[in-house]
Amino acid sequence: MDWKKIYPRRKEKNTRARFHDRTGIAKHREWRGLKDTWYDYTQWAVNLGIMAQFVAKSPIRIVRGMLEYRWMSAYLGSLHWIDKSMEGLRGPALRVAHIHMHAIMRGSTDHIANMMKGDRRFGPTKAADKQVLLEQAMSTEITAGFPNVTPLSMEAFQGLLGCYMDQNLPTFYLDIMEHYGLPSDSCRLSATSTGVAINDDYPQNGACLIVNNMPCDSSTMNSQLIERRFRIPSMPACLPIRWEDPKTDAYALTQMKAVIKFIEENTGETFDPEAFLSRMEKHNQEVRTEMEQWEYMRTPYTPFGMTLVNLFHVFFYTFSGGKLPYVQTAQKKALAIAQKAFAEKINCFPKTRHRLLIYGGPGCYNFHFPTWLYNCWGLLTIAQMDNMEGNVLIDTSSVDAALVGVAHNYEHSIMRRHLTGGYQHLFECWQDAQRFCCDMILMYDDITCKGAMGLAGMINDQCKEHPEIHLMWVSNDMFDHRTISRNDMRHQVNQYMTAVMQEEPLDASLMDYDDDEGW
Amino acid sequence: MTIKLGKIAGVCVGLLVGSMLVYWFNLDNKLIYYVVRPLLNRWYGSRKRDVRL
Amino acid sequence: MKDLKHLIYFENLLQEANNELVQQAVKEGKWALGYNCFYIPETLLNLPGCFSSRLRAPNCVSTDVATYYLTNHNCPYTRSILERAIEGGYNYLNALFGAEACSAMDRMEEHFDLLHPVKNDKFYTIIIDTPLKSDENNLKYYEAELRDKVVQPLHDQFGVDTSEEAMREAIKDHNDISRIITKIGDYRKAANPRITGYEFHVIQLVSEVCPHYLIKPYLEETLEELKSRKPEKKFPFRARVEVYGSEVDDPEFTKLIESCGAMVVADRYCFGSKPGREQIEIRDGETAFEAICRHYLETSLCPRFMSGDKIEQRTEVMRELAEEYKADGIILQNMKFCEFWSYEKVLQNYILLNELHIPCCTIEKEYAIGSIGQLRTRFQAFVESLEIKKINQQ
Repeated sequence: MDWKKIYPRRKEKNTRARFHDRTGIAKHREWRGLKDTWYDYTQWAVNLGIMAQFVAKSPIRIVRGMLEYRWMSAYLGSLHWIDKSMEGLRGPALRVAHIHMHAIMRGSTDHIANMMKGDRRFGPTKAADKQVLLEQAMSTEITAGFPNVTPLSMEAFQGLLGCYMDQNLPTFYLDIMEHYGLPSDSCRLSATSTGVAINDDYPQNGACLIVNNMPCDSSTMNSQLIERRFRIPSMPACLPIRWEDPKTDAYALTQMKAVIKFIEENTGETFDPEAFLSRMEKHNQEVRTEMEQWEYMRTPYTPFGMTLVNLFHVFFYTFSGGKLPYVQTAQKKALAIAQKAFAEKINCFPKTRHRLLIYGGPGCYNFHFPTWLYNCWGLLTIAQMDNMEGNVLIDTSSVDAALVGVAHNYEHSIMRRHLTGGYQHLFECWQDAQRFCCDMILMYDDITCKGAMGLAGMINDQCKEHPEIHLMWVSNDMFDHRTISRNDMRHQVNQYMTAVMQEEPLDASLMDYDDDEGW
Repeated sequence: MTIKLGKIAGVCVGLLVGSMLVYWFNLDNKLIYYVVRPLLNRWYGSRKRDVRL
Repeated sequence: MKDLKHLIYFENLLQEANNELVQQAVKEGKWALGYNCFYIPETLLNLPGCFSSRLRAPNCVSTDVATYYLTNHNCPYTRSILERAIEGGYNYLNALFGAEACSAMDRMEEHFDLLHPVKNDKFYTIIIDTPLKSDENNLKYYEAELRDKVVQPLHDQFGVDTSEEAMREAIKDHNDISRIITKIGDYRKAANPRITGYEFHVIQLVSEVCPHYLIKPYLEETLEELKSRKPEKKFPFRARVEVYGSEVDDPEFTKLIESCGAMVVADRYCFGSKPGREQIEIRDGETAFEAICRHYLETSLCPRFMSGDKIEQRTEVMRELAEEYKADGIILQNMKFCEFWSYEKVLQNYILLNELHIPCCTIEKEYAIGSIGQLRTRFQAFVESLEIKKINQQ
């Protein structure tokens, strides 16, 4: 379909002309006006500085890691990834996005550097003896009582974040899994993580590994295969799935205590209750600041939107949990900008036609889809489902109460909170849309996610009860762009916006283009 | 001293202009996309890995 | 071989969930308690005054309405069950005891709550949380879940006797049925068995879908009949196989395998006899309820168990069954869209080929036997490969 013929414009905005065909590499960076372009340039320099600091942490090991692990090369595209996330941003929104991104860059590079420093593949290293590997969606709170222990996330960098960076990275690992007989309808995230293990692409880190049943079925299974490739002791931390029932708390507490005992046995460290409770206070502060941010997100003057509003939340949920001081600094700086924008009534997203809430399992290979939604159709993503995950205020009156809170935090983890443990969680999309004053919901239909798909019919039925909110389904294959490409996802939105909403695009050049060879 | 300062200033201006050119023309990403990543992918493809369950 | 006297009767009983014996039990005032998954102990649903009904959806080839709710990328078993419920096939049920063992099953069970497809005033749905390890903590958790969500509601809602005596009676009932089924199943170990895999599959299924007190006489008669049944003069199959994997509640699947020349001598699948038909022992110091919980936790071979001992147990049981029943090879099967068994199939396939060196064949299937041609080709090829291996060994 030639969208340009359908929507001819006299003075046609042609954003796409700035990019090379098929690769998505920009011919030049975005002109945002003198002030904002200069600002963007300085932040680009800051990001370069962060990357240089990263290499300086352990240059030899990091270079060896780059030559050893295929997934690491995807992170060379970080600056491109940042550009894609910032497309169309101006003023306060641009500043907030950069503040968040710096924290993400810093946290991610620190993490990868720690991985390389503790990688026994590159020679003996004492750093590994005090590292604890946490599988997939498990955030770092459980290690808070061990100040000398470094928690490392296993899978996030090889799988999820790698997919954000380069859509062609996970397909390599998916093919490995399918070669071993896993069908292509299985959750792509877990399949990719297992493919990494089979290809021996995990760093040989850590004193021990804690696997878990989060977020759901496929993670429960892939842990069993991944463990086979690790030569360190491992234990499964199994948290209740029907967590709304308070009677499951006692069991969750036993699991948390078992994990603590396991860490003690394998690292030689002793659990420090004071350090643990002190960290939980910081975790709570992060959550409270996030809640404060939500108040601004509800207004027309929010500088939080599009791609990064969700990513920053996922980042600090998974990697901080009160641990990273620069997370709170970033939150405070961003809030200060939000307060100023609100006071001065600045419309930070002037192209907005509709306020959008995104729910469901996303197409991670199209991570910057919210950016496209805004620039092409004026659909401003106010929040995503992941924003509503975690956000547990932990009771610090006692260690046991705090451990139950940590368990709750895990039960509310990324993807888990909404896709398991009761249908009512996914139905919250309607309340969340009202909470954030959104008039549209984009429901991702991840074709491999049984938990979410299993309620598709009910959600469609519920549309009748919410005529004020438009519901748009967009199918994706989570990590595999070959099944449903980025352009296929765009077409789905195009069709909805033209046929149902009867609207014209802001920029027809963005409607249909091929970026299959791009990162 | 003045000459030294002048040289330093010149280098700084040169770095600034150079970095701005790299930034504006997206030379960093072009280098990585068209040169570095293809080389790395070839390198990864040539290595033998312990592929097993 | 001479046809088994009650085989046709059993086949007829399997044609619908609300079969003749179920109707009789309901008329007699028994509470009909539905379940899908091994995590819900069948024994607890056979307390005095109740009977268990493991849900199947025989002859369900179209799942249009259920597919609207669950989508066509979801487990066909769960879609078929929901479709059958919407059609009114389970209106005899008084309760559905579900387990959040997998997302698909959970969503299906939730739709029983959301759509109210069972037109029965007293009907309710309960979903338990299920353990993923088998240690002491998890056993206590499992006990708590079953006590709070199965036993207590049975007592409160239906006035069912859940005392120690009643539990012991339920265990006795379970052990009686299991003894009969196990003895029948043991005939498959012989070099020339006097029962086919299909016949055993039918018998095992009726023991799960019919009230025990009504089906037991027929099962006992069948066991007696088998004692004197003469097998074929020569073993009529070309190979012996174990079937390992996810849900198989359609004996036509077993018939298909056997029509390709491989006798199914051992069954390790959901709705099969392993696990499910072992004796429950009450140890010293244990209550009957504790014994039931421990038994089901220990014997469960669900792949969602994450602890190392359980992972090893599954492999070991698979290997032991092959040895005990003298299987030449193993068919690893999983229901389409099943996350758990897909991964388990990958793992066990690798172990079988590379570590245990047991021939295996991996297949994926729909709930209703759809693409018979493709499956037939796979099974025939597998049988040929087993024959060639036997010849080479000789």
